[in-house]
Amino acid sequence: MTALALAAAELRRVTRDRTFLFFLVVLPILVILLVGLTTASSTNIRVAVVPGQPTPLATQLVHDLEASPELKTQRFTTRTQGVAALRRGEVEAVVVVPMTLDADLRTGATTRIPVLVSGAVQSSQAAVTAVSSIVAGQGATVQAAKFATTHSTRSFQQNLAMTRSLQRETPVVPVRTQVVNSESNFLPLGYNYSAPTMLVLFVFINALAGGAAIIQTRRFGIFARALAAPVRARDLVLGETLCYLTLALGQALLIVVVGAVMFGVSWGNPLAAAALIGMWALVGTGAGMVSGTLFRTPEQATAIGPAVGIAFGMLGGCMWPLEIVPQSVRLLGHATPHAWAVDAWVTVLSRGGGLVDIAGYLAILAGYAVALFAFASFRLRRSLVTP
Amino acid sequence: MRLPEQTVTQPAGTQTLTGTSYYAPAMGIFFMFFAIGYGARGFFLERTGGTLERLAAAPSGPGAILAGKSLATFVYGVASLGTVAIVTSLAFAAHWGPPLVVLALIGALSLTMVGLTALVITVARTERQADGFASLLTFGLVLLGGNFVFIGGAPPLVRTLALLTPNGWALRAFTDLAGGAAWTAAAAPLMAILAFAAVIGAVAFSLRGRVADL
Repeated sequence: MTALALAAAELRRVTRDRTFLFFLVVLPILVILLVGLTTASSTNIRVAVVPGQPTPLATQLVHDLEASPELKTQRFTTRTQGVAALRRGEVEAVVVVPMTLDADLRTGATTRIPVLVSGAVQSSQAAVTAVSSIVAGQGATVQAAKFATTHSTRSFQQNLAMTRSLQRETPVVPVRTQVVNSESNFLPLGYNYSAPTMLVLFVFINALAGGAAIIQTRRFGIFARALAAPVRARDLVLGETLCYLTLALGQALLIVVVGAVMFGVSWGNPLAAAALIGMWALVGTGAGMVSGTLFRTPEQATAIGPAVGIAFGMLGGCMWPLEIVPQSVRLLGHATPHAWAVDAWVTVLSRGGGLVDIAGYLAILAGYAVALFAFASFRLRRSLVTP
Repeated sequence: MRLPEQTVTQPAGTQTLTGTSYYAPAMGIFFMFFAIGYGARGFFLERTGGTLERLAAAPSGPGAILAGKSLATFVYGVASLGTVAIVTSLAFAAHWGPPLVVLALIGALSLTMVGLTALVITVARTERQADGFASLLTFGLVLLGGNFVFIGGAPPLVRTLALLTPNGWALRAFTDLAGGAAWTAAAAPLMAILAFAAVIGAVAFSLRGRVADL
């Protein structure tokens, strides 16, 4: 009971800190929103279109490109603007519709439509293929219309309209892709990526920054005074632990609820997700307790803690999937508990894993938690009364 | 049968923007901004320690004290981002652009940081407040400016909002340079960052009287 009372008192004190509340509540949601928005919009092939002259065939080609479900197009007035967007990675290719497109096609000349790509052509291959397919579609239409024009009295324009009309009516042979192995090593893009990774990142960062409050409590001499009362050192340590565990669980729960309600995030198997969140809260609390005993001043904890937390998050795959980094970096990343937590989320969210499937990851995380708590308890009991 | 229109793939004359070339300046700027908090907190710590009172006894105004404390962050900024630029260029083959242009951008960004540190010192009343304001500023700027995510992949509105921050402009310049643009591409971002530095510095200077009241 003493430990609970101490935890409640510490919780009240900590939650009065507005900066802490900003990191606890506002920042994770903002980052989830931003990362989710960014990764969600990169699922389409992004292409810049420089429309050229507003002639019928050029306009039709631009319309076809913009209507393609595979492409996300952005119009630019000049080629230079399109190239600037390519350079900044805003688009993967730039389609420059020639000024003479209509005239060339009507006179029977072959028209080449430049698709500008960055240094490595391979990285734009999907964009080039998608654009080529749409251009070929228009090419076939024009060719059919020209053929009809040479064998009938109707004008090219009339035949073009008729060809389009016939194309719409002619049944197409659909080509369907079927995913036979849906297991993925990545988290799904969009909010389903940002919410679980930011949960891992921010629960840990806030726990580390929370160590500042422990140092402050110690420096104020609150621990020393509490020990003068009939309170055991064990209860003090337990009280502090319960306080930060509650905060970590509260923040995780907030991210889960906001993720599900505001961003439509699916958290997978509830039992596995709950176990993972609980275990991660324990790891974070352990890290926070270590921070509270390792640093000498609250300033050190608030300044160094978040920086360390962010660096661990980057190494552990919270900012980008570890699948895209070199093997050595991936190995180094797995020295942090973050990488194991993200791997567990991949199993739960991308492979439909349950509690049994992530048991190994949970055991590793439990190992981290035990080691951190053991170290923190040892240090805290010794340093409770050290100013 | 040959179709009358075909695509032809052409090199645009740009370099592919690598993850390292983007995230090296992005994260470098992020960690550099932590100096705003260090600088501002240092001011209040000195006040608590009584050093500031002794400085005030010397024949120097509050403006000089404020400028002195804030300028320390300039040195930190240049050293911090400069080190990141050198290390990531040599160790990870990150492409930052021509050294002189990079130095100018780092200097301009560090000047902005001086203004931001001064602003936090003038607005905050306690060390705790300074810590809070600095955290809000740092994370607000890096979130909006695109340091956390690859801004090129973000929707157009987010990309436009990034240009409301000095770090967003710096990142644009570094991205353009890494993408193979000529050094002149950094001119407009450099001007924009300096404009931010001037405006923020002017606001902080106009509030310098608050430092004297402390």
